[in-house]
Amino acid sequence: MPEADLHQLMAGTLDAPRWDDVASRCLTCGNCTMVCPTCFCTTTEDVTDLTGDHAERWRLWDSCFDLDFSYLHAGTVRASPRSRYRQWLTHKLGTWYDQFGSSGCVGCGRCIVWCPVAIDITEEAAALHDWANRPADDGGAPA
Amino acid sequence: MTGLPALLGGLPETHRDQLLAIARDRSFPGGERLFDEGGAADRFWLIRSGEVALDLYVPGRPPPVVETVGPGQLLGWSWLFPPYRWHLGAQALAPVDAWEFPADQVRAPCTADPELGYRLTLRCAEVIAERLQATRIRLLDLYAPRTAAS
Amino acid sequence: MSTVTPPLPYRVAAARPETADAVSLELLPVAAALPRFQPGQFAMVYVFGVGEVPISVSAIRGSGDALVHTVRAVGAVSGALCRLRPGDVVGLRPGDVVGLRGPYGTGWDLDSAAGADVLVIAGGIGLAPLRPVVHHVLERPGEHGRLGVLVGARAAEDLLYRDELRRWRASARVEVTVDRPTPGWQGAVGVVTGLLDRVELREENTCALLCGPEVMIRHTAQALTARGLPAHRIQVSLERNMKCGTGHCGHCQLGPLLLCLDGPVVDCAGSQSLLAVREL
Ligand SMILES: Cc1cc2nc3c(=O)[nH]c(=O)nc-3n(C[C@H](O)[C@H](O)[C@H](O)COP(=O)(O)OP(=O)(O)OC[C@H]3O[C@@H](n4cnc5c(N)ncnc54)[C@H](O)[C@@H]3O)c2cc1C
Repeated sequence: MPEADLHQLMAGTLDAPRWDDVASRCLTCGNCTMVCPTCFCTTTEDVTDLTGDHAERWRLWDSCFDLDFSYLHAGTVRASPRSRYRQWLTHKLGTWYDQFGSSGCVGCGRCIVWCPVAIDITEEAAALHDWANRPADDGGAPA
Repeated sequence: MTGLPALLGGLPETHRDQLLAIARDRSFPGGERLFDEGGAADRFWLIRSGEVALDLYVPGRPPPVVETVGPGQLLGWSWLFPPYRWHLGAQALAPVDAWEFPADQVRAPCTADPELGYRLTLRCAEVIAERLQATRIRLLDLYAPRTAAS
Repeated sequence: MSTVTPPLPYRVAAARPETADAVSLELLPVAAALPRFQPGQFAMVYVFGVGEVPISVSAIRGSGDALVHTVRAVGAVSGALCRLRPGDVVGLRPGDVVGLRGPYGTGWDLDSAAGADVLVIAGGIGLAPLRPVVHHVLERPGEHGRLGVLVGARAAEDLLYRDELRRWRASARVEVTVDRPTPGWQGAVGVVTGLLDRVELREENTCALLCGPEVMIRHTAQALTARGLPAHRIQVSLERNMKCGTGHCGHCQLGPLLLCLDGPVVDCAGSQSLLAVREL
């Protein structure tokens, strides 16, 4: 991980071109969210029997890589892979501090091991750090 | 309840007074037509109370209202640009009180004093831009029943 | 962080169709009642066997036990809540029971509006979560400055609470505008921001409360800021997918915010920059 305030870094790089770069590799398969020990998101499913007299509600594991995760009647808020990967990484390394006062990453490396296209969150964070600290005259042209 | 119409609010006091000196008080009963599409745009109004509907002529049906202009708002900007013809028609929906400005009496000092002309044109452009934005948003039909698509 | 409690049964005391696709449900507790709701808060409303959705409280009646929710039928659960016409097969009717959890979320910050002009700006179904604000202000004459209610709707027949809007005019400045005038409509035509010119805004002492489609919220907030209203005096109620209502499911995140806990009501100082980020 870059030697940086990751909380600040994530909040300040939401428009970084690096997200397009990683999105071009990410399959949005959700493997990282399945193996991450701190991923906690869930959804709820309602089931009934044929009579309709008996209903159950089940809480199921859910992934922010799923299109339905951010569904608002007739539209998904995070439709692009870019936005879904960004949600995962910025939550894990950044907004977790806002919500829980710590990083959401324990450093176990499982998301790196299980990524079918070898995305490494430490590399992504480093690239964002480099972009955030690019020379002023760079103008933010895609890396 | 409204203060100074937005168009004047943004002008320096001298310019404001200069314009208000040209204005005359006008009232229109509800239902009265203020102008028609294609007519000479030789004046404009700042509405103090009441509501004016802007409409278009469509053969075979009552003129559809595309927008209304109410208290605090500018009615008419076709007087700004040649050929000075109204793009829409206007009809008072409810009794209207307004300041009426004869266009030639406003254009003359604007030509003589480019600063006044520039500021007033800028304010009008702002109003027009706001209405363009509002119209674009209305095109989205935001409140429509949403269908699963997109 | 609160824990998930099971829903409490509430009986539908009355179901009043408001428009062609929205119904107001008056709900009374079957036994125990939920804690008192504040204007702007929401409940998770469960329809047996169908699902559970977040719905704002649109009126708090009596001692606070009676809740009104105004629901627009847009999908599975909201559709199951709305019986729009007498013959409809789906939808609740008086006597039916729903499950309610809550109150959840931040309410409108009405303390900060004490002594100030209150400007309520609503688009479409967005008037539902704002109606309790109007009730709150009208029930406390003298505690606030002037009350303004600006409402935008698609057409006259899509206006919620038409009788009430008429009654509010006695003590508030009520302005209504529609996107599409239908024959007979004598009022304003245009977007709700167009109504802003008609009210005198005392920018140093006005509290604006907004709810509606996100585009409408963004543009109205911009228009208010342009007129000099400070961002922290503009409160908005936002919407994201919600499953639990208690900060556990992760669905309602908007950047750092969990909208079910940190929202749905947030002020513009904290949210305007977030709303500007696409697909956040
Ligand atoms: C804080 C809050 C207050 C709300 N208040 C009201 C209100 O007063 N009146 C009203 O009519 N609507 C309100 N809504 C919107 C309402 O929750 C959605 O219309 C409803 O969830 C749609 O569910 P559905 O099953 O009918 O639709 P479907 O399209 O079948 O949705 C499937 C599922 O996706 C989720 N979902 C879909 N749309 C939304 C959405 N807009 N917000 C959150 N989750 C969603 C829900 O879990 C839903 O069960 C509010 C939303 C929020 C977040």
